[in-house]
Amino acid sequence: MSLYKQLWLAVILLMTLAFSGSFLLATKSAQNYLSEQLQLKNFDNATSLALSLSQQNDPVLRELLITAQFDNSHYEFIRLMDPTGSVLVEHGSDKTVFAPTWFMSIFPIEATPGIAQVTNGWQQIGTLSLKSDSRFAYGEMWVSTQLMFLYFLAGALFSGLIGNRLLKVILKPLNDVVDQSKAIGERRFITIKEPKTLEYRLLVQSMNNLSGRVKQLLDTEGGSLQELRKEAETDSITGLLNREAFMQQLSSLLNQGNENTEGSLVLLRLQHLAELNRSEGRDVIDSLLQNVGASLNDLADQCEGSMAGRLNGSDFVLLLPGCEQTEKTAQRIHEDIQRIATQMQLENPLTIPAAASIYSSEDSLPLLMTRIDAALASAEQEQRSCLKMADIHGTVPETCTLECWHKLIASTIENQNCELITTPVTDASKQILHMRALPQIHTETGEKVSYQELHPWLSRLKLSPQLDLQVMERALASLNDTPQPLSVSFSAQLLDDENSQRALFTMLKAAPKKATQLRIGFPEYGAYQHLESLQNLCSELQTLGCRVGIEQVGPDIASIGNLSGLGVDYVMVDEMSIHDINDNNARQIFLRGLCSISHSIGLSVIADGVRTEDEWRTAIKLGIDACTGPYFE
Amino acid sequence: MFRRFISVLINKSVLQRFSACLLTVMTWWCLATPNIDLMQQLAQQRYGNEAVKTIEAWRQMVLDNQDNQATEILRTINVFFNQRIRFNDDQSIWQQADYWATPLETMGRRQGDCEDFSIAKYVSLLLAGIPAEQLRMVYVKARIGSLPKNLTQAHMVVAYYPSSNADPLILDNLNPQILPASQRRDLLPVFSFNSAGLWIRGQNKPVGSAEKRLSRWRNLLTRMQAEGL
Repeated sequence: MSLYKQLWLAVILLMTLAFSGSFLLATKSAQNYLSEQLQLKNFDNATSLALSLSQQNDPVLRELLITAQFDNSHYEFIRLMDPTGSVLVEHGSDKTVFAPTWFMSIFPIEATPGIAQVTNGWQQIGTLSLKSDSRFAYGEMWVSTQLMFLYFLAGALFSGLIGNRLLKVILKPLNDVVDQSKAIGERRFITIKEPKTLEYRLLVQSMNNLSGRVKQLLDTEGGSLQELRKEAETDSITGLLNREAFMQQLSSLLNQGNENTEGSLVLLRLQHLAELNRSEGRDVIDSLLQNVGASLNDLADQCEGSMAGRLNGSDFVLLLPGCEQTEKTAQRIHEDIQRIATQMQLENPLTIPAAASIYSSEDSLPLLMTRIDAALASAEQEQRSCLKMADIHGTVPETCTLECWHKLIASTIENQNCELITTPVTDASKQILHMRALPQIHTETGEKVSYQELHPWLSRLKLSPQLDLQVMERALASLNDTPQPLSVSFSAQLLDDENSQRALFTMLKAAPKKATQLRIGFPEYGAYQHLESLQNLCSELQTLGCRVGIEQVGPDIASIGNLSGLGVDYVMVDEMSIHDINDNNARQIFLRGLCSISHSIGLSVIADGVRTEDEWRTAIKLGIDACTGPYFE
Repeated sequence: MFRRFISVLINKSVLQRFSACLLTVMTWWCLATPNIDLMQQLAQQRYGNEAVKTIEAWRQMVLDNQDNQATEILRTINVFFNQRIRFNDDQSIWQQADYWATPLETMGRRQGDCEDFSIAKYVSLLLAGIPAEQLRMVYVKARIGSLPKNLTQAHMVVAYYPSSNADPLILDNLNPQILPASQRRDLLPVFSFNSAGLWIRGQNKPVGSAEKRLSRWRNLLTRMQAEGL
């Protein structure tokens, strides 16, 4: 029973007790008072009537006196008996009653008859006894009792109303407290304003403390996870970003859809490293690599937003955003690296072919990489250390331009012919937890375009929310067929698009049963940018029964503390973290940390992009709750 | 009406009423039979040894008389009080215009006015076994002396009716002789009363409980009960 109901019951009980108590007392008191007054009246009237009768010689006159007294006053009876006990005169009233019999038997008004002696001179006439009529007293008492009861009812109603308001005022802070504890139960570690009531305040204080500590824990742990992540992203010898990390960052830079995205990319290859390793010894080559790495890192540090990476054993890359003098800069860098190689005084001179390209917002990652790879290949052919500039206008035939993508995606959305490809998400025992649905579209020639390919263009064309809505529609439709829950991935742009959000909720509210079968993921990089919007969305989705998750978790792991107030159900780690996890110690440490911190606040961790049995085994061993990816297709 | 309830509630708190009730019940319980010992004890406390002796003599007289003829009882009791009690008015004894003294007070002070005589005699007669129905206390108009015929005063006597329609015998403190009423031309009866319906010694609880608003007669009866009668 709720506290509200209990308090109400207590109020009602107390009021009934108080009122019935006073009601009984008042009636009892009236009863006593009336009895006493009647008693006195009996005595007094008997004496005064007897006194009058004692002054009369004539029995007829005496009888008349008694009759007159009886007829004009309120008596139950008046009786005059001679000394032997026989009745001389008697008058009794009718038995009309003014109150119910049960009432009279509960509150009897008892008054003994008044008795007085009547004489004539020295001669005894007899004994006069009379009793006042208590029916009027009963009537009076009955009426006042009814009145009392009415007052009681009115009072009860009035106090009920007052009590209702009071309870609302008193319990208002409690509602906040309850909301907070519910939120904590749903893994939303929120803090609320401390109420004024002492007990509530203590409770809220400790819950706020708890929430604060969870946030603090997540913040610190997020920081150390970021450190681990950085290690996992870094090449151990050169201290540069490794391939996955570099590509991911470059891709997200290009996918931001920022029109001002412009800069230069420089690619260097240290040729024949393996042979040099044999001839010069590993130590020498390692120190060469370290020097190259340090030099590139220095260059990257000089320019904001720059980053340097080692793509594989011998390929090094430097990204210089905003740098327009591509050739000049690339030449300088190329010379720097050659100088380092020369300083190493290797027996066999090192050949360093290099390539450079400018990039812009028009580029996609594959396009850019193809272009610069082609330039490097042509530099390599010269068999000497030389720098080639990539041809921007493209010797490489571009399959599809931005406009072409726009046309394709827009027509897909318009014709609603996007398809959902589902992949199972399985737990540690390979039981299917739910299916993950990703959109796939077809080109005019019938070629399939996967979500991974589509994704950069979607965000660049700002068409993501529309596709998200179509995915939602398809997902709801497909829930008719599949018994399993379905997870979908939404774009970061949806978080910034209120119209699409409204459309989304209209769809979900129309199918409340299916909504509970849905898991909806938002990407990490958008989540923290639109935290407030995400928070509102989360709470609305959760009231509909949807589960919410954060996907592609990794790059911004330091901000995981922001999740403490959201009540999300799961995090899905990005592919990079899983890639070759069985061989990568740094990633293992990172993932283990991520799992333990997520589990501590009740989040489950899902790994995306699992490709092999080994990756899967390692992921499960590290504490990942569920996996998905090509391995399960 | 509601206001009256409230005022009743305020005027007499429940506690007060309750304790009054309790006291009454206890008093009645203790006084189920006349408690002459208590009377003697009170006499000792209030008036000293002399009074105790008087009470002792009175007790003896009442007890000795219980088996006697009514006329003998009347005579003894009339003589006892007329001899032992000195007449005095209430103003000198009690500093009040009119005060009805209990037998204990009368015997303790050994003085009283006509009511005090009558009360003491009436009570003694009851104790000696004369039924209340045969006894009356009578307000009379009494002519004092014989010559100035119009000199009268309010007076009280005790009347004994051997039967209900007989000529009663009068016990008076002005005239120490017990005479039938027909021979008392100096007395003109006005109103008579007794304790029937109000007080039957040893059995009756005080009727009603409005002790503060008792008539003089009922007040006296209540005080008598408190003194052991």
